[in-house]
Amino acid sequence: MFSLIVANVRRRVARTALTAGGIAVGVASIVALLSLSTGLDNTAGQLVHLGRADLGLFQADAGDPTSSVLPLSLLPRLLRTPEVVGATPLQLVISAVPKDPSAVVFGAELNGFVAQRLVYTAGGAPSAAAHVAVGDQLASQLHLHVGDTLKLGGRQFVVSGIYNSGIAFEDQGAITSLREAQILDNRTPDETTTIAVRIAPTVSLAKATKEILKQFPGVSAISDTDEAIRAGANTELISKAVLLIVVLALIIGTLAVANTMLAAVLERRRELALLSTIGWSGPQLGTLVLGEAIAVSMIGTGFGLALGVLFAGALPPALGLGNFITPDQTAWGLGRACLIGVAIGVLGAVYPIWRVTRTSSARALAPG
Amino acid sequence: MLEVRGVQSPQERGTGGVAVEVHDVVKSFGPIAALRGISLTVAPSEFVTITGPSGSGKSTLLNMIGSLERPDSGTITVDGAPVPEPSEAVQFRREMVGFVFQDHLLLPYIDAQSNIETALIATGVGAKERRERSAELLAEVGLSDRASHLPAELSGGQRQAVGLARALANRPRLLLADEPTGSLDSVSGRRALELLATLRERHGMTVIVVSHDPAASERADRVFTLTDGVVQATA
Repeated sequence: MFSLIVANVRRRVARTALTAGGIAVGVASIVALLSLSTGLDNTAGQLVHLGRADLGLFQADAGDPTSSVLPLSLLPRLLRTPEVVGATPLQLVISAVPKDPSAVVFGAELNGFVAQRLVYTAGGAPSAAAHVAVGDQLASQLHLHVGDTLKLGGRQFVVSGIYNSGIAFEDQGAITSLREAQILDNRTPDETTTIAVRIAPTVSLAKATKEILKQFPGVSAISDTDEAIRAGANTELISKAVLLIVVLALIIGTLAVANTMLAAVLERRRELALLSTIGWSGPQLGTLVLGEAIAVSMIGTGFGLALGVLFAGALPPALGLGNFITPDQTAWGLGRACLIGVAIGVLGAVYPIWRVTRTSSARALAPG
Repeated sequence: MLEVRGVQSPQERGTGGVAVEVHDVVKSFGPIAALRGISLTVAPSEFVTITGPSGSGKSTLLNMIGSLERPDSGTITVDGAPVPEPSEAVQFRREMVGFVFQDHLLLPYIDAQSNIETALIATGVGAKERRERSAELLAEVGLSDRASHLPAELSGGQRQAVGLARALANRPRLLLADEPTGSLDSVSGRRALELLATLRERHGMTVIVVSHDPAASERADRVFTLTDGVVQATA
């Protein structure tokens, strides 16, 4: 049976290649989107733990954590909460660095724990207006040194220092005073994106989160990556896009395989009728057709996996998001793409199998 | 020249042929009456040829005996049991019947030996046993040296011999051949019929051949002549 499947798949090389090519494109899209989605999830997770905070407070109904707006008036009340040992506002400014749109500028209170834990490898913290400290990765990328100027949102800032935090998000961005960031993001002095919170070591994170949510309605407290993903409408949007692509790939792939297999079984009508005549059962004929369909779809899936990994790696830099998203290919992501490949083969074989098992051997074998 | 060689295996000895009884069988295709109350009997291990002009219903009758088609009315029994419905005839075709076709119908993309093995795949025979059995059958039809040849690399007579070997793969008790010499020249046709007759003598199966070829009638124990869907003569 296996040798027959291989022989039949090899019989029409061009047709097999075209069908497999169509499947490969669909599977590649899925692999690329899943790995970018996972990368984005990782990014969202880092956002929560900026400055090694235990949790981040965001506006509850914000479409995306970066679009959250919180009143700074929350801060004193938050600090009075027994479970909280530290809280500092952070203003996140996206696309403020023209030379690297994926770099995030953080506005922080310079005496807050987020700014305080930065390790400066050159210069120091921004201590005056229009000063900015730059993460070592961004500095390296833009060839910046202390004393150089960096254009942020149309204004020139002096680089006061270069730091390392160990958090990729921060090291690929820059930090300035809270007020400067508020101005860059057109915010009032009473607004911030998020408040980074540290919890007392003796209190469980779950209990502290529950208490904060009770006291501050309208706020979401995000303490892990999954919550950040759930809170982010953009991430959800990407998840929905992945689902849509999966469904489209399934439909298009299934139609392609069904078309190919139908052409194959119609073309080999007499051969299949012969096999039926010499004792092949319906399930055996079905297995033959199914095996061929799965073989074609798995060839496409194999190429699709390779293409997807290449696409995922090439896409973020091409879109200027190299610093923001690092594609992450997980075994589960690649496994899902393989399952989709198998599903395409199985679904694509259903109608051709039905046709084969309903063919009258006598009529199919009639000469001419 | 095709020749018959090989030694009959113990499993094959005593298998014997089966009786075929066709009683008052009618078959129409739309307004066209293909068979109009055919009755005939074939004894176990008999070699019978059914002849007649084109459209007389010969192939239709053969297809119904092999359960490829069902009669509109009448009965057909093989070895005393009614022929099953075409949709339920898998076991019957595997164990009871071997088919030989006019244009041999070999799969063009696999070699001669693999073509014979296709009949054994159906019965779930293991790969090693399939290889041995198909080699044995190739030897029996004198084509051991052509085992790895594709059908396109064989002569018409050799292709038909492979088709015959495939029909014998599951040790059938009834061999149905539809115009087995139809696509062969006269010399190859005679050799194919000689092979068929010799194999029948060796294995003892019942053979029913549908043919226009007078040489097929010469080889037969009995000849039925069909005209317009009825048996006109028996010789």
